[in-house]
Amino acid sequence: MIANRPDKSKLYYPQMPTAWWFKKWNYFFFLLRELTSVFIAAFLVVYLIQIYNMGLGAEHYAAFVERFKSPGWIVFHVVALIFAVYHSITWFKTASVILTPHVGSWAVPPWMVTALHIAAWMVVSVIILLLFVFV
Amino acid sequence: MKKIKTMEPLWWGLFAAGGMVSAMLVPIHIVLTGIAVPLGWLSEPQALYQLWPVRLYLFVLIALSIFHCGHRIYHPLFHFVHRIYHSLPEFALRVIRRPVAVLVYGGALTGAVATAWVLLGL
Repeated sequence: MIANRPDKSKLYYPQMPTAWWFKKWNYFFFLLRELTSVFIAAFLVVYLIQIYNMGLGAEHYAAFVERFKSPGWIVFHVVALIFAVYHSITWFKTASVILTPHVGSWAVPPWMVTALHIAAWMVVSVIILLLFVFV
Repeated sequence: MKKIKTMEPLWWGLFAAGGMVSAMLVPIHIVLTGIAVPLGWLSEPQALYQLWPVRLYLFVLIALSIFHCGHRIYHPLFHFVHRIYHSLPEFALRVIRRPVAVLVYGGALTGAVATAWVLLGL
């Protein structure tokens, strides 16, 4: 994946100041967006560990999930949720830049692509919620 | 047949799939398992996890999202490591790019294998 790229020494790489991401709000939000992945990954690992413990017996699992009721874990999940929602919204905004669907000769405008993604997101979330509650 | 020159499309394809999966699905899962169940608003439907379609779904959700996260953090992490070594000559960049890639993508691959292992053994 790296070996076939052009020879790096022939390319110009500008030197960036260490705090480049502090210079403009746009840069800061860009880096913040990349950092959302850390929180989403942390949640996924915690969720996987939780699923693993589910297989170790009912009593063990009940004791295991008891810790998620502590304020620290609630705060962790709320922070992870904020980052995840931030990632979702910016991802759907990006999708409108990448995707330009056509209906006949009419190009669907970017805001509508984003709106359709957000609508799909809401529908999918409600379906999962209903499955969780009623199955 | 045209010779494959680079693996990049594969990584970016997985990245895009993982991004869509995590954008659509991760927030509601955090609400349900991380907030609603611990606060007692809902009870956890453990029977759901016994269904194979649900396990397949969870594998796609967790493995693809973890890959997406790995891909997303690769460039900032590389940048960060690059900062530490920024006074080194050009060839050093290639030397540090490799371990960062191994760390990030190896981590994502380990995550996918661990997910499969957990879900198969449930």
